[in-house]
Formats: sequence, C-alpha cells, structure tokens
Amino acid sequence: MKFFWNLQLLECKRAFRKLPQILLGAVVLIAIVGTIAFCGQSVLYQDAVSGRIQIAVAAEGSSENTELALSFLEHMETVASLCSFVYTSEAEGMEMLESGEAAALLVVPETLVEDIISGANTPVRVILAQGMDVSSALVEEVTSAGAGTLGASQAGIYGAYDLYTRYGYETELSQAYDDLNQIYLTAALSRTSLFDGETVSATGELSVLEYYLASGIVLLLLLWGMTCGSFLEKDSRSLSRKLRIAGIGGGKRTLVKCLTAFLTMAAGILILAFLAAGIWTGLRGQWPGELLARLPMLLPLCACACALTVCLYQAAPTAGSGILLIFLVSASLLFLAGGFVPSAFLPQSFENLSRFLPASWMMEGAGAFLTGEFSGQAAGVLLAFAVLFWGLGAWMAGREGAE
Amino acid sequence: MIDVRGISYSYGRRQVLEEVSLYAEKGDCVAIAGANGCGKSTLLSLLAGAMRLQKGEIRYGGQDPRKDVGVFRRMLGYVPQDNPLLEELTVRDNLRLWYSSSPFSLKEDLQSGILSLLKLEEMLPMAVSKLSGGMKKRVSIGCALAAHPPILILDEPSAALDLICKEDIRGYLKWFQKNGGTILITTHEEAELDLCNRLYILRKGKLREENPALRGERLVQAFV
Repeated sequence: MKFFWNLQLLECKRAFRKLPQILLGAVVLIAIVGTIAFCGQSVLYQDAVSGRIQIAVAAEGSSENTELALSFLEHMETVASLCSFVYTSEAEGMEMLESGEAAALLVVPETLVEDIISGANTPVRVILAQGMDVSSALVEEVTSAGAGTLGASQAGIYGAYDLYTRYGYETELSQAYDDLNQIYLTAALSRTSLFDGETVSATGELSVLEYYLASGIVLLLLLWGMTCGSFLEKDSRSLSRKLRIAGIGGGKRTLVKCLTAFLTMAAGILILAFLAAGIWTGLRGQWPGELLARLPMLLPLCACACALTVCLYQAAPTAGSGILLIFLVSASLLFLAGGFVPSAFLPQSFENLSRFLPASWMMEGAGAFLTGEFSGQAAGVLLAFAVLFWGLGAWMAGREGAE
Repeated sequence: MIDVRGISYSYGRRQVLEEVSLYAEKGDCVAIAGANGCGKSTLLSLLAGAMRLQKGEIRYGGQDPRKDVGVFRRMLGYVPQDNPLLEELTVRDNLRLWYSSSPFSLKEDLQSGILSLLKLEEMLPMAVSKLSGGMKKRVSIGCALAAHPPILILDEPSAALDLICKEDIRGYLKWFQKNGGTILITTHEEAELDLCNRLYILRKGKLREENPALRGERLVQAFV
C-alpha cells in the first residue's frame, strides 16, 4: 500500500508540474467553447418570429354582421398583438400564401354570424402555407384557441336554451343570453388573463444563456483531458510490467491515474473559478460568492470526465491518438446529448439515446450548478459512470500488462 | 537458484515458447540468445512475473512464486528492454518510488551501497527525460536493485547504447556477479556473452543449452 500511495504522490507531482500548461490549454478551450456557444445561440434563434404575421382574409360579399365579427376578432388582444389582417379575394389570398407574404388565408363564409345564430355553423376555412413555419404554426394555435372559445360559448348558449325551455322559463331566456354573452365577451376580450404564463423553450428549464453555459462547462470538462496527455497516456509496456510485479495491476494503476486527473482538474477549476470571480468583481463590483459556494456540485462531473479521459487514453495507442479520440468522443457525446443543438431539434431517437450518455447527465449536473438546484440523481448516475469508465480502463490496462 | 521447468506460452494460436527449461546456480551469469522476435523478451517477462504463466513452473531459491507472489519482488531485479521510468520526474523521484517498498535505505545505497557503483548521485536532481540512453539504463538498473535482489534479469541492457555506457554496465554486472548475484541476460553483444558461464539459444520456441564459448559464425549458425 505504501508503494501505491508513493506512486499516487509522484503522479500528482508530475501532473501539478504541468498545471500552468493545463490552465493555458483550458483558457484556449474556454475561448473555443465560448465561440461555439455564441454560434449555437445564433443558429438556434435565427428562425425567430420578427415583426407581425400577415393573415389574408377573403370575406367578399360578407354580411354586415360578419364584417363586424371580423373587425372584433382583428382587434382582440391576443390576435392584435400577433397578426395583421389583409382583406382580399380568395384568389389573391392564395397568391399571397404561395409567395410567403401571408402565413394563412381565412376564407370567411358570407353569413358567418347568421349561421352561428341559426346553428348552421358554416366553418371558416383556414388555409396554411405549405411547409408550415413558425408563423403558420402560431396562426394554427391561435385559430384553434379561438374555435375552442367559440365552441364553448355556443355550448353554453344551447345549454341555457335547453334548460330554460324544459323548466318553463322561456321569458327569462333573453336575459340569460345577455348574461352569458357578457361573460363570454369578458373572457374573450381579455383571454390572456385566463392563461398561466409558461415559457416553452427548447432548452428546458434553463434559459438559453444558462443552457449554453452548462454545455460549455461540460465540453470544457470533457476536453480538459486533451491537455493532460503527458501524464495520462497509456504506460509503456515495460513500466506497466514493472508496476505489475510491484503489485500495481491494471485496476490500481487506472485508479492512480483517475485520482491524479481528478485532483488536477479540481485544482485547475478552483484556480480558474477564483480568477474569473476576481475579473467579475472588478467589472461588476460584486463578489460571486454564491456561485463559488456551489463549486462542489461540479465534483461528480469532474469524476466522470476524468474516468472517461483515462479510459480513452488507455484505448488509444499513443498520446496523440488519445487526444484525437477525446475530441471525437467528447464532440459526439455532447452533440447526441443536445449540447450543441437542443435535443428538441434533433430526431427522437437521439433524445431516447441521450439518457444513456454521460454527457446528458453532465449537462443536467452543470445546469444544477448554475441554477443552484442540486440534482442527487444526476450526481449518482455520474459517479456510476465514473466507476464504469474506471473499470473499462482497468480492464484494458490489465490486458495490456498481461500480454 | 533459478529452476525453470516446462514453460510454454502462446499469443493466441502462435506458440512462442515450448517446454522451455533452464537452470542457474548462485553466481551464474546465464545468457539467452536468439534471433529477433524469437521470444526472448517474453521468456524474461514470464520469469520476472510480469506476465502470467500459462504452463510450467518456476522456482527461485526453492520458492514457488505461484504460492507467494512476493518472491518475485524479493528475489528478482528486472530491467526490461525499454526503460520503465516516469520520464517527467527526477532520478531521485524514480528511485524513491521503488525504494518505498524496499527495506533498504536509498541514501545509504547511494553513498556506499549498490547504487554508488552506478554513479547515480550526480544525476539525482535531473529529470529522466533529460538523460541520455546510457544514464537512463543505469537508473533503470538502480530501480531494479532497490530490494537488493539476489537475481538480476536484464533484457538487452546494452541495446542502442554507446561504447562507454556499455562498458559501465558491463563493469557493474561483473561486480554484481562477483558478489554472489545471479544474472539472466538476453543479448546480442559478444562482450556481454564473455561475462556468461552458461549460454542458451532460443530457436523456434525451444531453448537449447550451448557451449558458452560459442562465437562468431558458429553462434549465428546456432540461431538458424
């Protein structure tokens, strides 16, 4: 055991001598990761809705009531905040749709309101552009919501009619209609008050900035190993055989390397974090103590990243090929985990697969670090992954030494 | 001192060693020669306990290492062909590592013990990566001797070294042998063969004892 701890001590000494180079490498990595995050955010939101959505409305020869109803619809808060109505013929509306000028075409029957009152309910035809974009999707959503409100109102009116006629209150019916219309109009005019505010985002519960910060942290930790090739690379056959004779087989040797990588990474992160905190304080005049206190939450991520790095170096024949392998595996893992482009934009199969990838759990852990909500499940899974990668590395090292 | 019987070893289907046996007494210097790739390094790795034995048995001083793995550590100093050193660390660090499991003192050995002959003291603060091939080989031998083993196993110790380094190492081996140490060495160097009182030729997986005075064309003929 004395030999094991001496080897551990010397390996740490070897690694810590490289710390300045590792930190320099980490700063370069941070710059690269920052650029990727910036580009990712730009790509993600280049399709954002800008300006108002044009809706072509074909309502030729409509009755006065229908025109009034359309005017009412156009000025409703939820519609007015998003859409502009362009009154046109059906043929012109189709042309606008094809040219992309309009997101949707509403073909309104001449006697829309009269038909509602009579119960004939001739529907408004809503024609959406082919290859539905964000604007068309929004129109579809607003239209569905409007149809739902209208349907509920009609059901209320019919329900009141049935109830009052059955129990002989026909004389009261007019008042009931007025009351119901008042209620429905109040609800319809300020529909936003009926809904809970909820942000629907491809980045889940994290803001876009937090999401890409989390992604950046994970990428940084995964790529960190690229700067540690000199002490994490596979041992020469002669050294592994000598160590084996001294009682340090594949398992213990891999453990020494994992611990060395972990301690170096932890020290490096601590230095970088305090450096960044100093710069932040200089710029904003406020010490980010709360965020620094959360640094221990990154330890399971470090453990997982280090064990994976050691495992990859063990799988690669040389330090150079190990660096390439780490880059390839890290980039692939993070892509599949939705670190570059959120999973919502990737095929469903990627999302299903991502639950079995360490990078997904690292993203969750990094997100927890940023929001301050510790995820015990993520920490547990990451430690399990660390043990798995250590075992894999130990198996490969054991085979290497024995052959 | 060394009693090896019926060792066989194969890499998958390729049989490298077949029923290999050899014997050495205390103070013997045994050379194992053979063409490149004939299995000499594999044989030494098996004898040093660096690889798992597939078949056969080994005894050092009557002790069976299969029953006590510590026998390898106590009885043997193994110097592989490539130097098993931590390159970024100093010579002192490397020696400290191997002396950490030894009952002997590094300081005493450097001053007046077995390491003094290897002239390692002046190199102690130097990083291994900055040393020449010959210096590294001396450090490797120094590390192998940390437990003061009675047997030294060396795999082509003079490969790629200059004449002065070869002479230094040869001088050290002579001293070790004179002090009762047993040496097992693989070599292509005739000067090193001159140290040996027993010669084995490994050919097609089989080990055959030859006249240790065999040299030149006759020695080459024995390889093929």
